[in-house]
Amino acid sequence: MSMIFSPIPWLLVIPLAGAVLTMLIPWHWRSPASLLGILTQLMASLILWYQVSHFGPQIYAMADWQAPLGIALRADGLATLFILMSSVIASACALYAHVYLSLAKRANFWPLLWFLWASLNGIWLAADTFNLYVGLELLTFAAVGLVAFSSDERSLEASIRYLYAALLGSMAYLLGVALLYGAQGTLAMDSLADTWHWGPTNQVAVTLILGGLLLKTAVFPLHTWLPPAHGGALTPVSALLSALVIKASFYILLRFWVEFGIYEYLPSLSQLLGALGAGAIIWGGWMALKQTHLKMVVAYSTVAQIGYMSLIFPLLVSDSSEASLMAYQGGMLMLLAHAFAKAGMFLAAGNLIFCTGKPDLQSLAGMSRYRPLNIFAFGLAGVSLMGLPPSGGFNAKWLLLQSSFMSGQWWWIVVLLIGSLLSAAYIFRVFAYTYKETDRGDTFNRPHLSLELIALGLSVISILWAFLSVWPLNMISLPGPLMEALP
Amino acid sequence: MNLLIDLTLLLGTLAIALTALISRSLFRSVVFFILLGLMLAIGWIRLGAPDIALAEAAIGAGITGVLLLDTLGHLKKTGNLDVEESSPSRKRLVLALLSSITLVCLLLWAIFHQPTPAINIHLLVAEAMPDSGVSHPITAVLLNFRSYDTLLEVGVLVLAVLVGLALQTDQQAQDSLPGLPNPLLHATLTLLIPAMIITSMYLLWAGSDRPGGAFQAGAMLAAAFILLHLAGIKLSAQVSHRMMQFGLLLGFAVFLIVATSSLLGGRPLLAYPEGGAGALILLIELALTLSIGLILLSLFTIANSPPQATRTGGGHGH
Repeated sequence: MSMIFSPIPWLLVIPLAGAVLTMLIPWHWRSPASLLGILTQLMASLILWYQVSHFGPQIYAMADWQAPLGIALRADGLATLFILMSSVIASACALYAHVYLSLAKRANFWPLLWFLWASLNGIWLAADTFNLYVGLELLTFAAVGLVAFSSDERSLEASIRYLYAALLGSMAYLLGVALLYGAQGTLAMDSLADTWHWGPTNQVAVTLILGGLLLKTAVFPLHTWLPPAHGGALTPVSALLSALVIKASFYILLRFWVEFGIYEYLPSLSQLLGALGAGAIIWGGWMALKQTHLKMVVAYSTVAQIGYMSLIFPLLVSDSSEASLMAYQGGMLMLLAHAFAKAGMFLAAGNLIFCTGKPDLQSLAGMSRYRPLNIFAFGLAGVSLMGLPPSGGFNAKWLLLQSSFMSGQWWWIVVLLIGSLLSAAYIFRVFAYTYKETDRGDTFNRPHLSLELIALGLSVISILWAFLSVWPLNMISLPGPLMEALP
Repeated sequence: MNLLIDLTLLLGTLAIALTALISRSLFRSVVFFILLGLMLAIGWIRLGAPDIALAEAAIGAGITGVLLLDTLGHLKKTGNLDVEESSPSRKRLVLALLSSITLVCLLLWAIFHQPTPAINIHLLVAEAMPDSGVSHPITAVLLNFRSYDTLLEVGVLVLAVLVGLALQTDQQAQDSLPGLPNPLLHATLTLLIPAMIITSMYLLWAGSDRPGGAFQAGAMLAAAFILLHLAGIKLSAQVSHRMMQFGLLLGFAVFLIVATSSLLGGRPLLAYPEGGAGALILLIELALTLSIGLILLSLFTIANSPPQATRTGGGHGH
């Protein structure tokens, strides 16, 4: 053990304790206690970021038992960036929820949020395949609870569908992990990678794990559970789900894919994953264009954006290591920009729906004049999602384009271009509705200013990544198990 | 002889599973599902895994079975039991059959080609056993070597109850406390309940050096609670809701406090102090047993109690 103070355990203990406390204390104390918890989380993430960028990646042996007997936690550059990302976005969504939800709703929101946060931090830091399963389970139940908790009939149905899909995914993942354990006698990722044995057992295991995680990430065509769940949840919950929750299974998928060198054995599967991504980009964009409800447009846009992230898999397989690195960086920047843009967009959409009192696009008429700040927030997030410069989304797409050129996989360029056109179309379609004139100007509700500012803040960050992208790219390229295993 | 037993078990399990799946009546399906749990438990015993057998019998067959039966009863009472919907279409059945056969073939292929593991984890476990504070390796893994997983798993249980309670506040559930007015049942209960509680405590205590432990003991306790509940003695009405809430959270909270206290002592999270592992594990398990019992009971009662009866909030009106 290093002697320096490590924030790693606090990133887990504080959310878990927060969950227990917010269940026990009286309703009106729950928000102040949670705000205090949010502050400590932000602080712990910053300390971790400082330590990892100055002293290199950290290994934390839980209960003082070294892996593979015990469970190790790993904070490399990628994990640290994800910790920071989820801290900022979860804090923003929590503040939003604090203003947005009624006291009774808030009372149940806090413990669910804290469990969600604990599971996210646990997954980013995990270095053990079974521990990842437990983390996924915790995440699933918290997320399903949050969807169900808007408690109208439709969202209840969506949450049950979500639960079934997620449980099926977990089951497949667990079966795969059991096979890996049988074949190699260990659950720790590092020792699995060291003793990796590409035989029939591992092939079946990888197939199961892959299938389960693809279902949980809602990669096309396994995405059907996502739009009703993300679109039907309460606004801060939608933002959390789209920005963070689906990223967890994607993150695990990427770690498995690279650290166990699966791409080396199955180059054709990489192309298949890319094809699924392309399908997601086109189908998600097309469906977003056809929706009549604002939040469903945003939810289908998530389906499409997952597609962009999946392009990382075929692009990683390349003769030039520079192209692979660019694919990795582009994919991660895409994920980061999407997290902020989508959180901002969902919150802005929620504000618009609050103004009009109706969820459909038709009733957005007059919004540009009435809520320009909010439309601006929606637009900035849209710029990043479309990939127009300057935005994080643009830089990410640029890296992916360059990587496609360099590795000679020109067909992904076509997909990227079509996807951009489609996303431009569905975002401008929303704008077109807001520019219509209406005479019901006096009947709009007025959202609290802070709600609009939070949405704007997140959208602005997604734009700022255009100028600051060097920083996350350096962060994820710090030495670590994933970087070493990159082709 | 042993081969004969195993073959019978295997074929019996398969037959029961199939019957549970294709049976027309849902009630029959549920009964066969419970039976399947018991067969699986025997299977685990044959495989030399009595810990899993206990858990499977208590949770897989017992608690899940009761939950399924209760759901069935509820559906019947509210008239939502649609026979048309309960039997899936032929197309879906074929699809499900095909995919499960593929899965089974894949798994068989994987298992027959399983290489000899490069890492002998049981040697590592055996080596570390003297420092674990207990003498049963499974308890050592669950509450010492991999205690972090167990902590999160208990979190999952708490979360499940939390989701149930959060949903319940707005849901218009009917009160369907059974309260069977059967004198024989009550007389049996006076004999059964103490025996069950003693068994539960034995399972807990035994966990330190042989199969048993908090999960099995908690499930046994939950069975006792559910029996009481079915007999019309409402546990949640006997104690205040606040107490009930504390009880639900006690195990998780104690676990978390023990885990964190090691940080304050300068050790990594969840590391027990030297020589204190045995006592602390027992403390955690004791609290966990009570909480798991109450959690499983709550999962059962949440669906049955009226929305006002168990409120999640602390004292405020709605």
